[in-house]
Amino acid sequence: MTRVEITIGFLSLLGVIAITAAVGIGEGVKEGDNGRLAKAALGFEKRSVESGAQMFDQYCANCHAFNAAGANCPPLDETSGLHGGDLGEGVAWRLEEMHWDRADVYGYVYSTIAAGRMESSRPDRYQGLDPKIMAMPAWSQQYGGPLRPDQMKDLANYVVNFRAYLPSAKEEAAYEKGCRQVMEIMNPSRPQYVSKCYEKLCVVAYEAKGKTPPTMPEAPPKPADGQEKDPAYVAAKAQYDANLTRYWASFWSGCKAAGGQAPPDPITATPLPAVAASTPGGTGEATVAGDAGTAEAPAGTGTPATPATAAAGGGATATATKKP
Amino acid sequence: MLGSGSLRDKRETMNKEIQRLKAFDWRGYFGMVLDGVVRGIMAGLSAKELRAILRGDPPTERPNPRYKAMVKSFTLHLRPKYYQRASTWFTHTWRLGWFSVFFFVVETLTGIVLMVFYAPTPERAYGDMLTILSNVPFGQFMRDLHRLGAEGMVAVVVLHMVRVYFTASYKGERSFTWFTGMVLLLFTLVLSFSGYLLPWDQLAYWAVTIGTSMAEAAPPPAMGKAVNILLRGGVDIWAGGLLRFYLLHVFLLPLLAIIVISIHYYKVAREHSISLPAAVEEGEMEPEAKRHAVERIDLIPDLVIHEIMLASLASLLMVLAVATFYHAPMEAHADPQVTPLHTEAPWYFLWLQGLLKLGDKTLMGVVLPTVIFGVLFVVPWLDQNPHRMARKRPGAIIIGIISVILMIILTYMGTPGFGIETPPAQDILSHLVPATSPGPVKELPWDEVEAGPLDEAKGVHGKRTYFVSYPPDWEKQASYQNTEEFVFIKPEGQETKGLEADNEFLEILRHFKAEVENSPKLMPPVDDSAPLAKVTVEETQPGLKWAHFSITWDEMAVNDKDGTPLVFDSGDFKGQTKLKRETKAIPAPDVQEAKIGLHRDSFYGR
Repeated sequence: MTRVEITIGFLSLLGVIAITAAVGIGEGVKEGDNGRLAKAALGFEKRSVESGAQMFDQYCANCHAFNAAGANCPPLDETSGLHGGDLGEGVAWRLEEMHWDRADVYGYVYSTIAAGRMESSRPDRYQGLDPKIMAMPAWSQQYGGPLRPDQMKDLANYVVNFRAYLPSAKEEAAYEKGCRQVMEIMNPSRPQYVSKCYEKLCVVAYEAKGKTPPTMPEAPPKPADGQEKDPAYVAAKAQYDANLTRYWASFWSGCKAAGGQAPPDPITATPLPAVAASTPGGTGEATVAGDAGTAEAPAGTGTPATPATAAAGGGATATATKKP
Repeated sequence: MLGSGSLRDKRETMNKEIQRLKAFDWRGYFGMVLDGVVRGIMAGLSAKELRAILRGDPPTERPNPRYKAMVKSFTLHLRPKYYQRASTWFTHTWRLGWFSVFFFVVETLTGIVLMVFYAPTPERAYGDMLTILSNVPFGQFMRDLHRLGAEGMVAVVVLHMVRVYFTASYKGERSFTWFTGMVLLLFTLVLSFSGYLLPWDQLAYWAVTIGTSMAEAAPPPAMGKAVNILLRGGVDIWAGGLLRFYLLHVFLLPLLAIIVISIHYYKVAREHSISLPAAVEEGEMEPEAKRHAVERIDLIPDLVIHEIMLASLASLLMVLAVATFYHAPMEAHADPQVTPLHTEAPWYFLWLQGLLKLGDKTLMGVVLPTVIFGVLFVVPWLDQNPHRMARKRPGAIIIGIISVILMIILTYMGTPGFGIETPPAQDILSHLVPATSPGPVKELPWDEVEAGPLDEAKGVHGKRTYFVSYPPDWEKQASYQNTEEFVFIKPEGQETKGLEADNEFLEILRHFKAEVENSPKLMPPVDDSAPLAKVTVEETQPGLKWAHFSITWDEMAVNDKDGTPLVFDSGDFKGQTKLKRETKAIPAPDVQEAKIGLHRDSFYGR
């Protein structure tokens, strides 16, 4: 009997060890592994989206409309300029407009839900709940609202999930769509946001006509430290700047010829001073384009060095940049 | 100065020394050292002795070193040297006391692991649970083991009490042991219940809310209120209550339990041992058989080996269950604003819920349970019958059987469906889309819940309406002929156009249809303005479907007081019965709705 018991005990112990090891392997402990842990994490995230959808229906659909299409309050769906900040400038224009890191949709949405909005930031378009009281109520319990942090997290997850409409295959289309909105909404007052979009839509226009845009001149290799005054480099740089100005001039004129739209003359635009001063071109590419502008105008004129100003080309640029 | 002569002398001495070392009994020496080490660790048992134990040989030394272990080792000194054979019969004890301790150890070990990843605050608790389940290797494994062990411990402790009652092992010197056992039963129940709140999900929150609200019924009202606030740490359970339950669960109760378990077990091991079966103690047996039955079974090796086998086997079964089918439930975040339609107590408190349905909260929820437990505590002193044989104590056996049956009935009565009338529409929808648990629809494969036609531009599927119960002529209407957008659910056996016959969602919808159509209270809207029941499914984000269940019905208006139908007092319809909609300011049928989001990657029940 003792031997039988010892055998059963020993085999059971082996079984426990084997099953535990199997569970451990199933967990997919390695990073990036498609184990149970990764699946569970995804599952919980999406359950949060589910309950966020239910909560949106309960609390938000009243003003933002079913499926966040927008009514009295702005849309929050994939057409809204909240999403796809990683796709490039202009797509998450709403976040840029509000001076928020355009990659951080979640943070923006969460804070907006939590604190609400005292006044509509675009009263011409969206009245909000009640202009006399508050455009959007504060939902966080911290500010007297009804929602707990976990509920706001679910809601924000639901809104962020509209990003699912913008998969990588549709990046271009989304970018274009975002740009059209950006130009429609923001062009008159804040041209610095839209320069990239003009460029983008021009490329679309070129393609529609079956034409190829002119090739961008290549910048001379950056000199080593202390060699910026090297005459050879200075000459190459001046040549490059001139080429760039020519390039932009031909790019925009070709765009117009293809039925596209060049940026408006900055003289007619009235930039909001605070915003205009604080926002330079944006991405690295934009700065390269902006070099043309700074080359012609002395620095510190207060006009941002954006491709919009740079690209207007020729004499117009000179006049524009000299205007303080 | 070293001369050659002295070197020769040295050689001589070295040779002698080598001879001496060669002659030395190294084997014996190291054997002795090793033996000392083994004996030191194994409480005086030599390696030879251990070998003999494993081979089932008799002791190798006199006096029996296997008895010496109880004197030499702290852990073993808690154990008896032997039991009588009959008290170790499996069908006598069912090893229930042993399993209680086993589960207690499992709970302690897994609980310590879980504690590392858990903080008892409302802001963090639920999130920490999700982290344990999705970000901690073996986190779910540990949690499932902990939960399974908890259920097992309650079950085993209760069964242990039942066994001790029916074998009359509580009499005489065992009276106080029974009393400590009852204390441990209470501890086990409260330990399990206090752990119930910690996941901070809806199931936990509402079960504990109901549980503590019973304390409020304790007379007099001032005391009930005080006890309730003491437990909850406020008017409602929130941060204070969670911390209190946590401290009860991880600190106070385990500490007290360890002390009382020690007392309970020490009395068994040192004072009166495990009882002999009544038949052996009192019955008439052949002297030979009786001698065999009371023979000593030594703890070492027989019982220890048996216990190690039990531990391994039980661990294997638990681990197997946890790795395959058993998973501790986890519902939505605790929400004081959303009351589930049915709040279910943990199964070991269902009898209490059943009692509550029978009458007054104070009497049934507090007084009666207190009396029941009070009587159980003093069973050994109430039962003055000295006999242990079942046929010599028929009264006690009958009372025991009746009590067990009553408990089972009360437990059945405590299940949510029993005896509670909920409005039928709400009830039907709460089965499909429960407020607290995922429910059948969320557990379906995502693709089976089909939305409408694909919108190419947006990449999502449009709206699809499932008419579950509908006016018959709607089916023929031209506008509803597109089966991609409109589906008319047919009963079992008839083909439903637009859905595969083996679609699991169709099965649920058929069930839904049968439920609404068989509910006598739900009348289809008299003017056919809406279907009695329908579901719309729409993909609102890629991967997220939005299902909207609704029941629209008319019912007869009844008098709130006596339930008699209302009739028109005057006008054209004088004397005729009224519809409920005709009593409303704006006449409309009643509507009950439930909406849920279904995400492709939410992995419910899969």
